Amino acid sequence: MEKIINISTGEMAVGSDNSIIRTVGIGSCIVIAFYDEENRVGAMSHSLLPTRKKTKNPKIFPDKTKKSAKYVDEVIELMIDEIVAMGGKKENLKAKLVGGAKMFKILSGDKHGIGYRNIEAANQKLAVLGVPIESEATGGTVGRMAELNLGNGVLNIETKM
Amino acid sequence: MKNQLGKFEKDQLLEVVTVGAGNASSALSQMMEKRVNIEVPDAIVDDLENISSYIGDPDELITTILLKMSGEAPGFMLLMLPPQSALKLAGYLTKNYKKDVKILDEMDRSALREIGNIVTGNSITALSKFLNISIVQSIPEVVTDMMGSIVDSIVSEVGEETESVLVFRVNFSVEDHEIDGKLFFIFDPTSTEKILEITDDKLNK
Repeated sequence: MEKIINISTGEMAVGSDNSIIRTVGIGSCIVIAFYDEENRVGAMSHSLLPTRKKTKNPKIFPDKTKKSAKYVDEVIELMIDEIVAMGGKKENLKAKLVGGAKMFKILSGDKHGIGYRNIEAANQKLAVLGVPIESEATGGTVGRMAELNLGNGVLNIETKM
Repeated sequence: MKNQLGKFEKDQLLEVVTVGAGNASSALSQMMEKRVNIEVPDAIVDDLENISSYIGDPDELITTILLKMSGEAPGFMLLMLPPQSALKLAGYLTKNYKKDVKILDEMDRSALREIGNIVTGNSITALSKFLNISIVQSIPEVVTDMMGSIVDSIVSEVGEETESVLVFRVNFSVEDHEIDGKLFFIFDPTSTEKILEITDDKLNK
């Protein structure tokens, strides 16, 4: 029996063999999937923003020291740590990216939207850490859902429109 | 902004939204010549990533008419319609009823945008009169997709500046649930503070 782990926005999950990590409603958010084929360990996240912003008013929004799955750069580090803790190897990892769409034209005007910046943030962080990107289904104007099979590393992507 | 609104502050803000929503529903009612019922609005302040689960089922297909508010209280206004309601509403104006939201054409989207303009325009005018501030609305945009994709894309725009947002929800229906929909107002903390300040002043006069 396969175990299905559902994650929502701002969350991540790690697992091995016989499990599936699933997330729906991906718009400008970015989903990053990692898989170590040799050890059959993987992880997937659903992040909202490229990076944490230094708060202007630390009294109202204290800077949390804990890394959060909400941010692309932080979640990549979190996932790699957890994969290694589960017996995976960083050098075996391959990444897949999903999301980063621009759902509305009126958001961000003519500038690159959050979606684009999420894709960019993921590319940069992965390049720094030396993790290759195996495939990408990013950009565009359509929402997606994604399912990572931890038995074989296959990532299924669906759209509704 | 605090992460939680006091009961008094919440009532104050809900009063403001009721004014806006009341005007929106009477505009819709006049246009369709049908009775429009609105429910009592509710409000939450929460972290960005939790907003879509407050709004509904993230993988449900939904038609959204989005308008951006700028000026003294920036934010967003959304009209969300389940596909069946969007089809009926568009068909009501175009007199050409479609069976699937996937085949809504430019004519239908234009009809929905017009509805967005009328409904939200009335509500924004009421809000800015009540608060005595200027709010400018953008042109509306219509998108049908998964609710989660839509909501996250909108709140992440606010998320550039803050960790949490204020969301108001008003459910409405046209004549015995022939058409159901939800109206949302989303404000960032700066706008919320501003609105509270103004209503405070009004109450203390």
